Amino acid sequence: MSARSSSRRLLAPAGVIALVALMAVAPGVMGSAYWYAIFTTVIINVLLATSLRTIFLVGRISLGHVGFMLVGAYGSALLSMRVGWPLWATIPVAALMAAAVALIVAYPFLRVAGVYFAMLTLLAAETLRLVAFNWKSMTGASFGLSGIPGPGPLHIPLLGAIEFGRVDRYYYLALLVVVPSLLVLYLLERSDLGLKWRAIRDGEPLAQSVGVPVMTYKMANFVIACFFAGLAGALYAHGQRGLDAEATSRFGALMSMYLVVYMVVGGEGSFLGPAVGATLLTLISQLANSAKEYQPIVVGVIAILATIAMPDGIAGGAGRAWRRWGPAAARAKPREVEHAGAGDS
Amino acid sequence: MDVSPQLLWQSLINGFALGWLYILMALGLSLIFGITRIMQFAHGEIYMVGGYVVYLFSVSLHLNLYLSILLAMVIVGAFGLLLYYGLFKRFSGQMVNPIIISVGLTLILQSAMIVTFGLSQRNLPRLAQGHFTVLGSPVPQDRILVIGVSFVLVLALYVALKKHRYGQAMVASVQSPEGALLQGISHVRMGAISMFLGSALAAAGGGLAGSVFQLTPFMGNQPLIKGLVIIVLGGLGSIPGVVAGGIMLGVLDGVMPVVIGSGWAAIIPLVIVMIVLIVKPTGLWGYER
Amino acid sequence: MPALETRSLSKWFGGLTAVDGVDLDVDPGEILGLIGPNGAGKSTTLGLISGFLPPSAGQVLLDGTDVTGHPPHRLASRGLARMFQQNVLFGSCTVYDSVQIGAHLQAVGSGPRAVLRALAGRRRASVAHDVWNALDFAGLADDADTLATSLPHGKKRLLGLAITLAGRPKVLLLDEPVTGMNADETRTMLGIVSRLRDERGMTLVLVEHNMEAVMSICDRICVLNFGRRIAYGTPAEVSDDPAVIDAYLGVGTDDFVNL
Repeated sequence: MSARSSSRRLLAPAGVIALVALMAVAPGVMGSAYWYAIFTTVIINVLLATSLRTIFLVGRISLGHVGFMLVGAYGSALLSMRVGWPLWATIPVAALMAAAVALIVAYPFLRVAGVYFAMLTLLAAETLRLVAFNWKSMTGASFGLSGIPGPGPLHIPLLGAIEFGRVDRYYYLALLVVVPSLLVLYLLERSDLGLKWRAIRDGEPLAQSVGVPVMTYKMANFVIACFFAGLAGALYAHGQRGLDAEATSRFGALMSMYLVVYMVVGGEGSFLGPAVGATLLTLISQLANSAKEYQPIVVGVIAILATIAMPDGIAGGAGRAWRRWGPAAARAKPREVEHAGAGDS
Repeated sequence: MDVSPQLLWQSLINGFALGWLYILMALGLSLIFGITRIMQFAHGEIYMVGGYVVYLFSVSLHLNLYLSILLAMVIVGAFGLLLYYGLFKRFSGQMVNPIIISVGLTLILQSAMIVTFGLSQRNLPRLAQGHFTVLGSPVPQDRILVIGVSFVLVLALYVALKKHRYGQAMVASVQSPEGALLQGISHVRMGAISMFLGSALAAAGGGLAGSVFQLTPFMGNQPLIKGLVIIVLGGLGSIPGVVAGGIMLGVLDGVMPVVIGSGWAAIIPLVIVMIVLIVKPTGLWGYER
Repeated sequence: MPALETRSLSKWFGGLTAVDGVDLDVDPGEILGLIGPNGAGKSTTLGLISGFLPPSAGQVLLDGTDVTGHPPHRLASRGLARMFQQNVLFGSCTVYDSVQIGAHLQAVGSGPRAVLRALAGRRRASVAHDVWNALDFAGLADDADTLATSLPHGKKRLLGLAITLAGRPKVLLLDEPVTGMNADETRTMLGIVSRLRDERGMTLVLVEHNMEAVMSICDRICVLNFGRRIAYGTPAEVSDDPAVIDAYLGVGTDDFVNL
């Protein structure tokens, strides 16, 4: 690591721990069990939006992220229902299934330019949804899949059993999966692999000519991101206890677009940006339940305004403001402040 | 394979008609992208909105269906112009921002239609009642009319691009932006025309689909994807290519679900696209600058 | 054994033949200039050699090994590097980070285990040494913390060079290295190029329009016209060659007058 890494500032560990602690107690503070379900949805969306951003690190946008969520969801549900495996097995295996599907499509998809890649991911997700929708024998077709088991009790010797089946306990289980996942994604981004990904995004021919096997790295990126989408899907399935693959469902094209909005509104330039966007927008949509039909309109307007007014999103804009007017800028020489302002891209 | 010839024949005709609707979508997308370098991911919603506008004219106002379609083409085309000047033009050539704009538009338009018209499907008046008899089998007249109307529209576009000065400039611009500037027509104006024409074509498609099939707020999703598949297969900037690709895809979509079941049939476009991309992805990065 | 060799290298696009049976052999430690009027096929040839364009026919050999059709990253692991014509850089990185990316092969190596190493964040300790080495050579050591995008044009080109140097290539392809530079910057760049040959024994192939530059530092020159090789020899031989004079006078005399 160089003396001053230009890419991202290190997230202060203390701040992160505080954040995680906050997320852990927040639903409890709110009162009713209802909040646990909401927050479960929030952190699932956070994982989805953050893993979507991983793909963005190589300069691609996937409009089909929910397709891999679907593979993870149905995979885990079916493995637990038809084959009888416990959740601690079905969830990771289902995520691997999502990664496997990603691997199959990765090569042809990543060969083409960014715009076409985006539309191909859309195609893939819709195809997966239609397969789930039509495969009556496996997925219950239009009636959906119901009765997905929750997690069984965890037996700890001498302490008895911890039930994870209740909605509040499930939240903690989900948190136990999501937080380490985010940690992994963060470490990846800061690793040499992440650096090479960004090099591919910023100057692919140059990266190639210094020896980076670009296709391999892009495929690794896509497969890893889709693994976590599958993981999120599996968490979703066992929390909801039911799945359906309607066009209006969680797995419709619209939801993929929501994820992109979460990423952009929160700020695609920083690691926590998508998390911020996902949290804010998910909470808003869950709370404003009365005006449910109007939500997409509001979200759509926010997305468009965000693109036009704030190219870096909320987190990015806040970061820029902090660098420009915060304590460090006050101490720096004028030229450095100029650089700080121009530092984002 | 116990499918009656009757059913097969019906699905073939259906598929053919469907194919032409896809062609209308794909041509618009291709034109817009070829000239402005913006992939209008909300194009499916334009198609859908077009269908509902036709509904307003033909059902609520009791106007003649064909007249309604024509009016819808003009109005939706103008809407496309508005979107271009207001939203898309400033992001010409970029990838990320137009996607976000398109996403936002999709959310807004789909929900606006759900709020206004509800989720249940509606129907437009039939283009025609009755059947022709071809080779002893009945062929619904409205399917034939869909094919006919679409063909006329596509032909009109083809002629306009070949003969008209603006059209020639637009074709040249798809190959190289500098060439068109030599003709003295600004890039912005060509972008606007492409948005107008593309949206108008999509609206016509939506209206025809609403008559032969049905109107739902989600009817734009599949045609958008099929349009994208056709561009991958048929290439950018080639009307014959899009027509060929559209008919082929439409027929597959019409016939395959009957023959091998809708589950398996859904995978076919994806598999075809993947094979094409592995074997011959030319023209897909050839146009990227 | 030539460091770089091409045999009947050709490329056609549909009906258009861009490169037609070009033979090159570059000795180790030699600087070869590749010149020709506009559209002669110089950049295409460079693209063929560097693995960015698959040849339609012919061979490319690196140190005697056939590397025809190999992708750029595999050529890099064999010691071939390329500096690009437009300023392709890693926009959001500092100068130091950019060059560090250039040291990819030194950092992580090649082959399947390289990806795992990159994942684990393990980087060979010698990388910092390679990076500073490259920065010093290009004269950018003081700019290590500057953002690549805020460098002036001349320094951006030097950065492009430094990035490739970090990978310790044996053969370096330079695509119009001094185009768009003023006299001072040109002199700096040419000085560095000569030093690469003299001090490091690097083999270089140079595509350039600036005739003075080409004539001053190249050991041999290959002249292309319409995709074909029309002359191949020392600067003195080539500047007297009637075929070369003819090729340039036919298109435009500005390039040639600079001799």
